[in-house]
Amino acid sequence: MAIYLLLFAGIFMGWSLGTNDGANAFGTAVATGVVKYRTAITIIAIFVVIGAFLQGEGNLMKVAELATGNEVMASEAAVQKAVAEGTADKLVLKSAIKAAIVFTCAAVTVFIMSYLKFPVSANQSITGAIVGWGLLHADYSDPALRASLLGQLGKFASTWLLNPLGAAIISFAVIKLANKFLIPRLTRLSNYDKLVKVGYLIAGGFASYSIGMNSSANVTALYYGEVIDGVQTNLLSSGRVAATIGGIAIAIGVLTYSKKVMMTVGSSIAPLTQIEGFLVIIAMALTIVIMGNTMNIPVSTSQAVVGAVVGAGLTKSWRCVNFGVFKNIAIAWVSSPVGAGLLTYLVALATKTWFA
Amino acid sequence: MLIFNNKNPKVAKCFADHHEDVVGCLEKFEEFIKASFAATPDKDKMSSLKTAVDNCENAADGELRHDVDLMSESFLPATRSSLISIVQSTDEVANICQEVTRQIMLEKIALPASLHDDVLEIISITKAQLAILYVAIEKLFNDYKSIFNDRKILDDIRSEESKVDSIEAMLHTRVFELDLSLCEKIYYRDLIEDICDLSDTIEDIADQIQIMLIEREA
Repeated sequence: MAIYLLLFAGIFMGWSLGTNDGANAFGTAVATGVVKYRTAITIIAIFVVIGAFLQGEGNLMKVAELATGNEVMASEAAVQKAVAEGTADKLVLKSAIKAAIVFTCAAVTVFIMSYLKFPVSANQSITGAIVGWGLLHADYSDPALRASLLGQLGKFASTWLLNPLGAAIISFAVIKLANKFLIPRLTRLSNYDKLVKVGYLIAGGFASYSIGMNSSANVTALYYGEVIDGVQTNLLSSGRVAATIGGIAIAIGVLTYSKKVMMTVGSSIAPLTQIEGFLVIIAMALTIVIMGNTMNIPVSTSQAVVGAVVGAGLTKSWRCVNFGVFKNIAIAWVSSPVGAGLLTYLVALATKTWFA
Repeated sequence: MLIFNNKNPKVAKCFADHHEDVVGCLEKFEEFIKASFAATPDKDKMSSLKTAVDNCENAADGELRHDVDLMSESFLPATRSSLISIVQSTDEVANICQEVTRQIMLEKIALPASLHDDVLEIISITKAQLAILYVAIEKLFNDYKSIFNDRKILDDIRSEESKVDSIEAMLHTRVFELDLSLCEKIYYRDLIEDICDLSDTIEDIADQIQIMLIEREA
């Protein structure tokens, strides 16, 4: 049972994701007093777990696939060999330790970068950490494996661009539609307020669902392994259970330590009107759900929010947009995977003999 | 929780009741000033009009408290804060009326006859301004779209205040041209300024409504 303690590295990652990502769902609403903090965290916790349970598995499989190619998780051939040799227990232990190392390196990178006030993405850090491990352990000389990995990495990297860009386009369209069809129908001040309140509750719930669906893979994907010939090959053998545990870890982060970040994020989006505030969150959630359903790759919710805010600004004029925010995203594209990759590579180097 | 409560129409009604008390207060105030301008002021009439101003002001205070209580679970916090600020400023109009009547009664002030018409003109403009403000607040609650898209009504309130400003400046000059001691001149000037504060306060409320609308602009 002690082996399950290794899950804590991923759960810690999920907890820290929860403390940050909860703010993207309800930050503005809580900071402006539209929704009470307790109501917000209850809704987030419930919908994050539902999102992870219903749709978290897709992203989880994709991350697991990347991890397998980079030797963080055992390949099918290695698993079958271990099963045949009766060393599956040892394989499970090694896989769980590798997962814990990768998650810890990604989490430490996020912590250090955040401490240094450097733009950072947890998703991109995990991708970098997986590749960092693979640089030392994977055999890239095999052309087939190389081609497959390059394809996977290309897909991951393309979401980094598509995510903020898609969020900007969706936000632009949603706000334009609202300006044309919804806002002109508001005849009473009380209706305006009701729309804002209901809008934030719906947007927050939807965003929480999308976070559960999107980010649960970043918590437990590396602990997942199929059951082969009745033998368990990693700590968690059900994709759905793994994703749900990820969702619960994120929910715990939201419930225990999200208030401070929620207030900070809420205030920083203040230039938006209240109606634009919840439309931006809906646009962010829509982007994440679309990305999840089409590419099955976890994306950065923070970068989706930035893209959506830019889209909201563009509905007025391109002059309203501070394109400098994209600089932070670009820095995170480089700093997160490189930082986590480098750290994981160094740890992999130090532990090479044990995993050889 | 806002989406389930039904207090919002009650708040609008309470705002209207409060406004009615303030309008009543200003009307009694006007009658009081007219009574004080009589060749031989009727002290009993002035006293009863002062009591009427006090009663309207007390009624307005009661409505103000009722408004604030009703708003405790209505609207969003930002809206609530703006509305409380608006109703408090409207209440200030009644407070000024009460304060000026009290001052005139206690200090037995008799403004020179040459200033009477202009002072009454200021009060008349202020009444018109308060009536426009009432329409603006009514629109804010029940025809939000129209005041959001067309803020001319708020400009109208400001334009009335400009008229009061011009008369005040002219009165200021004339007071200091009168053959009075400097102390009397300053005393009358201050009283006229207090009466003009009514208009300034109403203009401030128009500004608060404008800010509230700007905060909701897309």
